[in-house]
Formats: sequence, structure tokens, C-alpha cells
Amino acid sequence: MDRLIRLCLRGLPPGFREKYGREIELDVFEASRAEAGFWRRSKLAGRVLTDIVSLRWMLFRAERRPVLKAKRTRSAMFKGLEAFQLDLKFAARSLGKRPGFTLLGLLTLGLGIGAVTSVFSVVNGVLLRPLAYTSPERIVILWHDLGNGAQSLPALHPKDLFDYRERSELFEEWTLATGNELILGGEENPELVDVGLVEANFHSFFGVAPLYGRSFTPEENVYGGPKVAILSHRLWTRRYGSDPGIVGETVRLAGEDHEIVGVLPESFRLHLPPEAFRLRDAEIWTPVQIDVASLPPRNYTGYTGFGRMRPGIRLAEAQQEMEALEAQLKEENPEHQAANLQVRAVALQGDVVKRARPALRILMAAVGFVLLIACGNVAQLLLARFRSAERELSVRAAMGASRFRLAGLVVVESFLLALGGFVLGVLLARGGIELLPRFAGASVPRLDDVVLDPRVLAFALLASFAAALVFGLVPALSLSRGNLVAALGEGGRGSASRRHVRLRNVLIVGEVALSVMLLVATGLTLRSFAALLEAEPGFRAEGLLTLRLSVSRADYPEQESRRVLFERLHERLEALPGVVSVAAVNQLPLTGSGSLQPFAYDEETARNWESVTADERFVSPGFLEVLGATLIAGREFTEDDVVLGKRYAVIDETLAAKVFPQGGALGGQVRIEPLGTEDPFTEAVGVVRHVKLHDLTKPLLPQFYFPQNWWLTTSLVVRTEGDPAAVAASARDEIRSVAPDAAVEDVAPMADLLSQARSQARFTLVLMIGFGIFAVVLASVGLFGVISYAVSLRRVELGIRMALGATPAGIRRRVLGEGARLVGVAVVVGLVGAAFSGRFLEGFLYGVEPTDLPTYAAVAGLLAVVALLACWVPASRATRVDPAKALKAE
Amino acid sequence: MNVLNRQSHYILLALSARDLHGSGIARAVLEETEGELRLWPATLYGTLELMVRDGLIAELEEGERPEESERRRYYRITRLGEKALARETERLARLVKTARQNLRRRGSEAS
Repeated sequence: MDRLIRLCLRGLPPGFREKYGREIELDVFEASRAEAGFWRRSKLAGRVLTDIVSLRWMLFRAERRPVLKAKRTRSAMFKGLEAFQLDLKFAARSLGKRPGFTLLGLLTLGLGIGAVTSVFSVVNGVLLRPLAYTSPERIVILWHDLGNGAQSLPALHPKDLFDYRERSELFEEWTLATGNELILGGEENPELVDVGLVEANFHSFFGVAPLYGRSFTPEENVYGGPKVAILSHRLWTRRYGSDPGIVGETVRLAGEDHEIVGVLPESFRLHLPPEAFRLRDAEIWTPVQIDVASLPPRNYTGYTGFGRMRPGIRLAEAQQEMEALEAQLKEENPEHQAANLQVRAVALQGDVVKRARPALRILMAAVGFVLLIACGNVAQLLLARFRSAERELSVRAAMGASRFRLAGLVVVESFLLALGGFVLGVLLARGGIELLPRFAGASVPRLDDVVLDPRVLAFALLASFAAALVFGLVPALSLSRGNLVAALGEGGRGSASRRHVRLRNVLIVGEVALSVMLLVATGLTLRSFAALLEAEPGFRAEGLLTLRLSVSRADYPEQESRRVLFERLHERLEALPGVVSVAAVNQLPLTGSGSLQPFAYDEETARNWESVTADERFVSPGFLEVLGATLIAGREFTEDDVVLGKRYAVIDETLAAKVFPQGGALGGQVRIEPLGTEDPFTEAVGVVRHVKLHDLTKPLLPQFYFPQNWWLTTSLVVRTEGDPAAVAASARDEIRSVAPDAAVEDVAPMADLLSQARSQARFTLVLMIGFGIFAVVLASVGLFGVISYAVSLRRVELGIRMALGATPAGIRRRVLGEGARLVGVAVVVGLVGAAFSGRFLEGFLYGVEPTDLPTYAAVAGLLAVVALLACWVPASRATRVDPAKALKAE
Repeated sequence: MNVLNRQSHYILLALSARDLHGSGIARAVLEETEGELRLWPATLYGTLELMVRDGLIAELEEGERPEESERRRYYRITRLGEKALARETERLARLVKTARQNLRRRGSEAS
């Protein structure tokens, strides 16, 4: 009899039984002891059953009844805490019970969070972290724009800066610097180094104190002052074995003895905008010593000026003051008036990173999409998992667990997953932080600053929890009470399942649509990169070796002696096996800004001198041919008519079009000196196709090619028969034997320079492709799950269809059709989204429109194929449904 | 304002006298109603659960329970429960008063 009663008590809702079962049992047994005889006891059992049914009815009714009054006491809060601990245990246990599910979820999340964190660490290091200077947010760099787009460089004339220093009120400090490349060392191990020529306050301006020795003194900034130098940490380590005793020693720089007075700490890096003119993050620093009396006019801008705003001054106010000063300078200096000087105070930090910003933004958005898609998949997993646990949860609901508590359970489980994802993600990001800068190469500034700092960690944590909210909330909200109660009754089939399917469909459509958008962006990046590869640089980079050669004034005091040196080198190098021809240029293409040559093409531009400017290069005879540039008309300079100076010039097509719009450029005279000068013209002896000197994407300025002027530093281009790298060593040896005291630097194939010019685009492309693949894999896995689930729900239906004679092919078609419908909707949504968000890609793409139809079509096609594959397996499984078994399972 | 149902009203009534465990409540109610209302255990604990949720009664913590041999759940009426009981009693008192008056009037009319 007791067994019968125990059996009856099994009918209690499970959670309820757990809590009250023991006491109910006690009471019932007490009652049964009072009853005697089979009949009366059976009546009792019947009574107990009725009791249990009324309980269920009561609890069911109670779910629809509002709570009388929520009463919150301390103990209630304490209970809340206890409940949370319970939830935590429950969640941890249920995660542990399903290692496959947990592992897949963690991996998906970990990869997503790892990717997002890695990219953010770059964004953080490059864009967000302040430069490591004293009050970096107050440092501005001055840009002097001349003419109408003629020259825009962070460069100015020293006298302008002196005027600013004297007159400005909103700035507390100014500093002036310029740069040079000079030979360090004598016959032994000469090398060309970047030299920074700076004012005494330069290093303290940036907040750096020497590691050893001292900074410069103002007396050392006087023209003809003492020859002293400060070593960068790099040079000190590389060349002087980190010997502190070097302070006080003498080194030869540009053939002159300089006393080392200090060594800078390792942490100091001079960050400059990519357009920086002359000044570099130098290896050795000397005091700038300006002969003020013999300075050229103010439109010769060979220096860089930095200012620090007073605390509390906004950039806009500073800019206003600069404009007022600009007006004064224009009034006082006719050359500024003529060139229509415009002074811009630009925040240094933003200026340094501006070229990397668009790409980093796109990457951040892309990786955010990846994380969202990953969240979608985890949400799918959780949905499936709670689907199977729904009965358990519904009992809890029936027992009065509030919807909030139930949602809490789901949320706790999500957050546990998120925490795991965070740990995994941070571990992955640590690898990513090592890897990303290697991909990025020199294309992204400040890569030293890319580290896993607290901000990155905080971001990763935030991203994880935001992710948890996204993927946890979906299933939590799906646990609406109506759902659960329905689940109790229907035993897991019917309307709740349908709602469930709908939710999963919405999720997967979202995921696939996001992948489409991401893929479109990837496709556009790919097309853009392809266009960049195709971009005509204006010369033939293949089979071209380049190097830089530098001699000291002490060894080769006159231009003539340097010309003779080149003659000998030319002869010897051309005699090398594998070398076809050799020529020289003062600065190679794609190596930054060089010197500029103002010109005029009508009266107005002649009157407003420097309102238009061209790039100028100084080349040896045959340079354009060796480079592989295309002569359109006329000829290059030859050995016979080399005249030093600017009597003759080869001009590029854009200059020809500007000055001689009617044609007749050949033999034409171009004004290259202002009105009132004697002999202001150069004669165009040839016209050459535009050579991309600055970057590959756009022609910037018109170009003059003048006869080589044989400065101390010149670059050589060597046309080779085979692989240019194969000639590198022998060329270097040859130069060494001819001129042992010359410094030879940057021996590299021209293709490397091209590749460098494309490195940022390549970096972006590699990441975008990675994200694209990741997104597609995630979306296909999600799609696979959704279709599999739909098939499993419809086993009966499919079984009946099979029984009624549907062919496997027909069944497969049905299932595939279902997948196709979802994917179709998603692709349309994604393509529309991509079209709308396309404008964010503008300015980032080269040679391809953001609404490039072939890309859209290719992405749609690719996704269709992938989606078909993802649906194929569940579809095939559907055809193997055994009708008998499927029906029996009901 | 909700009207207490019969079960919860009697449970409150029983608990207003002293703290009780489940079968103690059932016994008290049985006595009070002279055997008319028997609270069967499953419904009893279901009702108690809902009343705890509504804040009418509270389950005693382990330390607060009176000494006992079997470790059972004990319940105590809360302030809210007392108020609800008082209100219900008043409602019933009014009901009784009106009912008596009406019945009396009908009685005198009939005579």
C-alpha cells in the first residue's frame, strides 16, 4: 500500500517534490496509518491523487494571478543572493554536463572575443593611447599651406616660428627642429644616419630627459656654436654597445668631430605625421644652429615647428590665434601674401595616426560583426540547450519561480560562458598582439604602443559581457511564461516549438545578413587591393635594384668630385654581371615628401608666386629609362648636354597639360622663378608620363626632373637582368671598393618599396579575409544547426510523406528549399545593409565603388553555395527518416 | 483587494494563534472547522508556498523553530498576514452584521 502511495506522490511536480516531498509523505503516511482496510486505504490513495491534481491546477492558476504584494526585506535580499549562488551552481553543473556544447560555445566566443580584443588593442595603442609625452593633448604641430593645394606640409620657416613664439599668448612653449641625413663615422664603418637638428628645449618639450649626460643648452643653438650631439638609445645600443662611457667622447658626423653630451632613454620616440618634411625620429641629435642673417625668404620651409597650448586652451581657440598671426605675417611678408599662406595648428596625436584611422575603423567594425555572428551562434546553442531543458524550467515556473528568476538562470549560464570566452579571448589576443604588428609592418604608426593594457582588458571584459547579454537575452526572453506553461502541457511539441523555430530563423537570418555585409566589405577590400596591385606606378619596378649612397663633404667637397665619383661607380656597376644600366636620382619614388619647385602657368600664378608647386627630382642622364618611366615626347638628358642647374627640365604630363594646355610643351619655357628674377625659365626638353612619387593611389603634384645636382646623398637605381636581389651583394662590394668611405644604405629591390606602399592595404586585406572566412564558417555552422533542428522537429511529417511515397530527392528538395528561403531573405537583407553602409568604406577603397555590382553578385553567389553545403547534410539525413520509427517515436 | 480564499483564511487563523508546521496547521484547521475542512498535504503545501510568496506568512529559519523531534518546516504569520486576516475578519463581521439584520427584518415581517 505504501508503495502505491509513493507512486502517487511521484505525480508531484519535481521541484515541488524536492522541497516538500518528505513532509507530504510523512503526513500522508500518518493519515494512512489511521485508516484500516484495503478499501479505505484505496480511497485514501484516490484522495491523494485528487490532491495532487488540485495542486497542479492551483499552481497553474497561480501563474496567471498577480502577486499579492512583493515584500522586500533584508532576508529576502539574502535569499536572492542565495538563489544566485544556486543558479551559479546549477549553471556550472549544466555546462559541465554538456562538454561538447560548452566547448563549442567557448571556442566560438573565445575566437570572437580574441579577434575583437586583438583589433581593439591596435586601435587602443595607435589611436587612443596618448603619446608618451608631457601633456601630449596640448601639443600641436604647425602646417603651412601655400597656394591653392600647391603645398601642404607640416613645415615652416624658422623666422615664422620665432614670430609665433614672441607674439602668441595661448601657447606656453614652442620648439623648432629640422632633419638631415649625414654620415656617421669615418673610413671605418661609415653609415648614413638620420640626424635631428633641434632647439635646446626640444627634448624637454616632449618630456624626455637624457638617460646619461645632459640636454643641449641655448648657447649651443647659436650659429657657429659648439659641435655636440645626443645619441638615441637605438644608435647607442647598436653602434656603441650601450657604453655609458661614450658621453664625453667624440664621434665624426659629416666629417666633423662632435662631442657626445648625452644619451636618450629607450622610451623616447618622435612621432610625426607621415608627411613630415626632413625631420625624422632621428638616431642622433645635434643643436640646430641657424645663420639668421643668411636665411632664404620665408617661403622656404625647411623646418618643423611644435607648440604647446596653455592648459585649458582648446584647439579651436589656438587655431584662431594662429589665423590672426597668419594675417600679421602676410601683411609683413609679401612672399606669404603672394603664396596665400594658411597656418594650421594640428593636434600632433591625430596627425600621427590619421592615415591608419580609416582602416582601423573598418577593421574594428568588421571584427565587431564577427563577434555578433559568434553571439548569434552561441544564442542558437543556448536556445537548443534550453529547449531540451524547457520542461525542467517550466516546472520551476509552475512552482512559482518568477520569470525573472528563470531568465536569471539563463543569464547566469551565459555569463559563465562569457567569462570563459573572456579568458580564452584574452589568451588569444595575447597571441594576436604579437602577430598583428608583424602583419602591419611599417604601415601603421605607433605599433610599439600596442600592448595588453588595462584598457584593453576592460574592453575585452565589456565585450564579453555585452556578448553574453546579446546571446543570453534571446533565449531568456524566449522563456516567456506562456511558453513554459504550454511546454508543460504539450510535452515539447506544437506551438512553442514553432515559436522557437521562428526565433532561431530570425537569428540565423541576422547572422547570415551580417556575414553578407562583412563579405561585401571583404570583397571590396580585395578588389581595392587588386586595383592597387594594378595601379600603374609610372615605372617598371621589376628587375630594379635601389640603394642610397652618401658621402661626406670632407671627402668630396665639391659637386664635381661627387659627379666624378658617380661616373666611376656608374662604369664599374654597369660592368657587373647581371646589371644592365645604372642611374642616379636625389630621392627615390615612394619614399616620402621631397623638395618642391614652384612654377607659374599664367600671369596670376606668376604674380602669386608659390600658389602652384610641383615635385622636383634631380636625375642623372638616362635615369627615366633605367627607371622604366615612359617618355611621351622629347628626350632625357644625355651625357653631352648635362648642364648643372635648372636650365633644362623634363616635365611630366600633368605639368605639361597645365602649362601648355594647347600642346607644344616640347621646347616650351616654364617659369620657375618669381617675377623680377633674371632668367626665370626652364626649357622642357622632354615630357614623361606621371610617376607616382608619394603613394600609389593618387597622382599628387606635377613633376619637374632636373639634371642631377650631386648632393652628398643620392640614390642609385640599377636595372638588372634577373632577380635584382642577386646583384645586391656584388653592387655593395663594388661601391665599397671604389669609395670605401661612402655609406651604402637601403639596398633593396624597387618591388620592396612598392610592396611597402601597399602594406597597409595588405594588412587590412589579410585581416578582412580572415574575418570574412570566420564569419562564413560561423554562419554556416549556425545554418547547419537551424536546418538540422527543423528537420528533427519534422521527423514525423517527413516520415508520413515518405510513407505516402515522397521520393528522397523530393524530401531533400523540400529541406533545401527551406534553407534557401532563409538564406535568400538574409542575402537580400545583407546586400541592402551593405549598400547602405557602403559610404563608410569610401575613402578607404581605391579603384572600386562601394556599390560594386560584381562584388555583390560574387558574395551572394558564394553564400548561396556555402549555405547549400551547410543545408545538404541535414537534408540528406531527412531522406533517411524511417517512417515507421518516426511515427513510433510519437 | 483580493479576498482570501477559505484555505488561506483558516491557515492565517491557525497561525495567528502560534507558529505551526504543516500538519499542525492541518490539524488546527480541522479542529477549528469541526472536521469540515480537511487540508490535504499537497494542496496544503502548495497554498503555503503561494502564501509565502505573497508575503502573508513566512517560513521560520532553522534557529527560530520550536524544539522538535522531526525537522519540519514551521510557518509564522507576517505583519501583512495579520493585516489581511484583520481585514478579512472585519469584512466577515460586517457581512455577519448585515446578514443578521436582514434575517431579523425578514423574520419580523414574516411574523
